[in-house]
Amino acid sequence: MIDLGHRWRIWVIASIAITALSGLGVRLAFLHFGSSHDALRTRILKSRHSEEEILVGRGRILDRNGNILALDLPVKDIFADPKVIIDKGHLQFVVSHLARLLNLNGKILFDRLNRPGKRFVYVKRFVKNDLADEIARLQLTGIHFEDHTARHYPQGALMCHAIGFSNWEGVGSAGIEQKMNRYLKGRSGLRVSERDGRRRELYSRRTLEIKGQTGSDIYLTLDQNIQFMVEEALDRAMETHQPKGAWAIVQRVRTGEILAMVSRPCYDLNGFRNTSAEVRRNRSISYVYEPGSTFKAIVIASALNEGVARSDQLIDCEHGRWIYQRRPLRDFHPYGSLSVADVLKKSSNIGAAKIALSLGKRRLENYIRAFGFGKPNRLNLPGEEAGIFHRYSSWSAISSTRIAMGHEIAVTALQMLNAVCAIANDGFLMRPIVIEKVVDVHGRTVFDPDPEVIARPIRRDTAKEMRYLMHRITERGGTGTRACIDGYDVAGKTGTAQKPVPGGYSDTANIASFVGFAPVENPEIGIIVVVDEPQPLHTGGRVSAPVFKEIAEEVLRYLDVPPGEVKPYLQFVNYENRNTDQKNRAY
Amino acid sequence: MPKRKKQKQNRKKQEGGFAFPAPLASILLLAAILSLSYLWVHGRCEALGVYIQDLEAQKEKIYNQFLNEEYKWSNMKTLPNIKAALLRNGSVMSWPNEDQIVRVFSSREEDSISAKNQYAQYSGSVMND
Repeated sequence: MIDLGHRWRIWVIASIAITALSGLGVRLAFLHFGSSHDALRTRILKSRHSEEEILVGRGRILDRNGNILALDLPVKDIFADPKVIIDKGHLQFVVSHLARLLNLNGKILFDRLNRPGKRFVYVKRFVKNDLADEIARLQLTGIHFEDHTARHYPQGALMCHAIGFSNWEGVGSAGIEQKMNRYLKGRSGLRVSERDGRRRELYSRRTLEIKGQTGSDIYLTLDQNIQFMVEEALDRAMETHQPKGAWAIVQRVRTGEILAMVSRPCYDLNGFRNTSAEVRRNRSISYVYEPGSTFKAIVIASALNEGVARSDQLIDCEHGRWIYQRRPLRDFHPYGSLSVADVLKKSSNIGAAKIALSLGKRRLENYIRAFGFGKPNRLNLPGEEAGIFHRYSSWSAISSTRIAMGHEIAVTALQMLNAVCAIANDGFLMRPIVIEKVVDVHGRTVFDPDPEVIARPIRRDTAKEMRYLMHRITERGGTGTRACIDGYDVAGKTGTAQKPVPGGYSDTANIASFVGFAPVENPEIGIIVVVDEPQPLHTGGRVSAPVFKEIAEEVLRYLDVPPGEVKPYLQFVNYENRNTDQKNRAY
Repeated sequence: MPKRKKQKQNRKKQEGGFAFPAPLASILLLAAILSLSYLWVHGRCEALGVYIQDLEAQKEKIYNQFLNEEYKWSNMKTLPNIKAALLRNGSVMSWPNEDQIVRVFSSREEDSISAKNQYAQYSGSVMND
């Protein structure tokens, strides 16, 4: 039986309970049926809803042997909450540890963190995970970490101009990184889900997950080892001749594959932000220069192919000075009559000019264009120049004579090398390629460029004859004897071009180059070496030919190219003896 | 009627009065079992979800570690580093002389890096052919 004295308590408790439940009921009714129901529902769903972009890394860049040249690495940004650090009195302690581990200036870091009003300050960005983990283990007050990925280049400066770099946003901004960005960048994924009150994702509420696809891997035709050999040779040349710059390319003759592409000065890809645009310039494809005497090989090949000259035909070289169209033309060394073969061997300007004249303007232009000059090679690298080569209709009366010696035309090193490789390759002009293949994340090859013939400027027999004529240049009496290699027969052409300055040509600034291939009988590789303003030596034969020799010697060994001897193809003609006997046939 | 007797009668009335219907009890029992099963399955799913998330995080961590190691390995075997290591250990490498090389002709043909194919399947015209 209920005690009447306590009945009022029951009423009070019941009233409170009824009031509370009524209140809750009203609130529930209001939430479910009230005017702000939709807005509230939207707000709640919005706060729980989560759409997360699944970021993926860029693909890797590898050399032809699978050595990694560029890859994305997980890194951490380290930032600080200065207010918390100062409030706890740990500023000095935190600064001393961070400065030591991150190799930062302690005083500068102290000044940056000694700001009580600040809640966020970057300490260092893109710190490698190992180091970040070491710092995290110290549990420093007010120090936080944020995950990121950043591009890293394990080889540093090796192949820097070919590889290029991607910026902080992960967008390719130079070299292969830029040109092949569409393959490298991959496709980010999407995850639609809900989060709980502590912002943790609820797996059971995950409604959509589109997996991200990491970017494809790019395999280059470049070979890390060959590249290193060429870079070392060029570095030595830079030290010896103190030039403004130097660049070299190694190309496989039969396929057009670029095995090495070097440009000096160079830079460390991991610190590309600290370099100037001039240093980042890939001179092998973007520096346009007058090729000088190396171009004589093209002109003479054209004349031989066209039948307007024969290799044993004598040309009167006017003893070193020839007036044509009231303009003088000089040879470095004066010669009387030289055979066409010796015009090339001795690099006579006058002889080459006369051969070019015999070809005629229109045919000369056609041949030069057929050799690939005046247009870019459509290499998979950004910044490739087309060179400068005008139509014959706009040439002056002396243009043919100047083009014959590599003036009035500007080329890139790649164009020059590719043209000479066409001579080495039975006249077939191959398209230069730097991409071997592109492999996606599932291992499928999505891009696989085949070697492509883009033109055939000369016949097989002309090409063969030219190979031997160019081989003579590296023999005794030629301008390229310093390019000779023990055990291998080498063919090539030297070039020393004065640099154009306002009002004419400079007497002191030259571009020294050597372009050639080896072995002569069965050419495997073509190499060009260009040195910009070498000092004090300045000729292609003295500056670039020895660099060619250094490179070719190692590369031929590395590629296991068997040495071969030149067949006595042209030995039926003794040019030296005929030079004096056949003056009557001189042009 | 005395109060005590009335209370006794009431107890009797209650004992013989309301009996919970068996079908309803079954339904309620079934509902309770289903509810509990649902709760158990739900809890299990949540636990699995957390486990999957853990595995995902673990996978990402391992992948990141793999990338770091790959980077370190690539960095370690760069040519300047190898060269420095050789110098440190006093090792000198040089090319063999030509007379020290024995070339096996048939194997060279198959394995040599030299391009076997002439890729010049050119259908265009040759200048002055």
